[in-house]
Amino acid sequence: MKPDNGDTKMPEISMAGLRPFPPRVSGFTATFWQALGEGRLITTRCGQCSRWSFPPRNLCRQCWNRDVDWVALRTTGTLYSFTRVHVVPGAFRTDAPYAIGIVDLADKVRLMCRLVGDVQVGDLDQPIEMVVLRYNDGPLFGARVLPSGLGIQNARAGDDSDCGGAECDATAERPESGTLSGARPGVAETMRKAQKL
Amino acid sequence: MTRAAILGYGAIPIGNHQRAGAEQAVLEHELVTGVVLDAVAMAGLAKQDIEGVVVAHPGDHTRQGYFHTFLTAHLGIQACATVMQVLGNGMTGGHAFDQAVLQVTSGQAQCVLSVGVHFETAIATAAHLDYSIRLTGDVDFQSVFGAVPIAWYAMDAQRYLHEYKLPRATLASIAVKNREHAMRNPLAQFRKPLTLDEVLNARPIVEPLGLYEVPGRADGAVALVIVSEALARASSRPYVLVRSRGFQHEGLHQISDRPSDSLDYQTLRTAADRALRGAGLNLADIGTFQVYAPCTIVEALGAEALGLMKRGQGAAAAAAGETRFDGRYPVNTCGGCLSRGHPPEVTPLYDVLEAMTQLLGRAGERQVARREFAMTVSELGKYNAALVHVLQAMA
Repeated sequence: MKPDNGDTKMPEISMAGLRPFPPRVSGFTATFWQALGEGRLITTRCGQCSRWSFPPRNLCRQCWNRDVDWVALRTTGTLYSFTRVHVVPGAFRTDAPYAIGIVDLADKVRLMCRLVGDVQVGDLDQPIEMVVLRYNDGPLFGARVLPSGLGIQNARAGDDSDCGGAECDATAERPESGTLSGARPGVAETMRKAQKL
Repeated sequence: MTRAAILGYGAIPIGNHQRAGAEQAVLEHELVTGVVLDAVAMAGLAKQDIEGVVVAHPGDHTRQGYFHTFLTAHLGIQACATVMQVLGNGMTGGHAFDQAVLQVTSGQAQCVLSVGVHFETAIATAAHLDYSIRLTGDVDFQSVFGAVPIAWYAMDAQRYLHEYKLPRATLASIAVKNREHAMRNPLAQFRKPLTLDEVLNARPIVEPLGLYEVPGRADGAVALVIVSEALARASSRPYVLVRSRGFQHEGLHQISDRPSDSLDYQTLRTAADRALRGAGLNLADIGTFQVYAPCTIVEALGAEALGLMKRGQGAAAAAAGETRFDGRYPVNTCGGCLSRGHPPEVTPLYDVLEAMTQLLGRAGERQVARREFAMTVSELGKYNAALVHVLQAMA
């Protein structure tokens, strides 16, 4: 299977209607949502200590450096855990029941998102891929379990998942080509560079 | 430093008090009146003795705003130390207790009322969840997926069963254990017998957790009278000494953004270690534990984090009866959030009340044998923070 260098577009899944509880979009997070709309999953990485953040942040939680770069995430990983929610908020009434899960991406970034497709207890630690959920009013990100045998080589977040600090951060191994742009030059320039990828 | 003591308590049984659709409303301050008077009477004190009022922020579903000052006026208290309302998610009641204690230990006050009321049962569950998804997740990157508060615990449960290759029944047995405790607790919300089969066959709420493995919706009102040790001693009444506290926030909101062990509630271990060190005690000295645990899994992981049993054995230990009131490590002798009931903002105050009831030897059919020291735990998020107190009987 072709290695995922973080610049591949995610599969899209059409979702009916509007996002149940849409996110706010700030001048800063617009970069993320714009890229997601174009099929890419990006986030911020500290320009100083190289620590990744998810969600994207306007500072590094580790060293308080505000010079963060927008970088593309590899969109495969493994399913850490999930639940299927049966008693749901009013805004999600028509979705019930729905599955949400915690996924560990290949770049050692953990996030929580909607799971689409069939997901079962036996899928924990199994490979997943991130997808774009295309609603009428904008995108959300999601994940789905890959059919067994697919994507295992690239999906594993690594067995050394006890990694606890920047010094053992596997992200340092990422090629610089993963960097989209500095966050500071402004959204317009950021987006221009992002679109080149 | 001045030491603080608990000299009185009052509470209503947890349940449906707000009464949706009832012809006559139940007002929060009317409900609190009785519990305050009970607590102050138990302490043998009078209104004029109260120098401070610390109120657990009553959340979104009570009508009266700025309830702390409103209640202080309703009770006609003139306070020289403080009147404040505190908020800390699930830890709200823990802060209400802690801040009252700190008023006393800092020398600001001799006698502080710690009080709270929680209403939610008149609000439809779907509407309540529309509100609560905003509390336990990043509203722009997590709540957008409909992550209800207990969904986070459910994901821990799924992971726990997977990592330790346990049947769901092992975890579910914690609900049965807690029901056995609640059947012996007159303040408890759910007191009918509950079998393991009923727990396992209940409708799913957040898989793998079913109806009896998550908290029911509940209202409650509770008050504690916190005084200086000198005042407690002068009262010639039995009291409970607050020996120490420990706190830790891990700097995370729900989950880390890098792969890590989500089943390790390290904030609890850290806070408990601090509290034990502060009291000069060992874990083995503690005779009973009140651990904030809205779901079965949380009680298992909390007990493991405290070090009561090895990792992965918290659920099995409960199934074996070790955490029963008559077991080796009694946990949540009141029936816990699952059966005693869980009015979130005041749950930790009810937990302090239970610890005191045990320490004074007044717990009746659920009385623990070793009643010298008790530990109470409250938390917020998914044990992103833990607040621990060690209490000592001075009967």
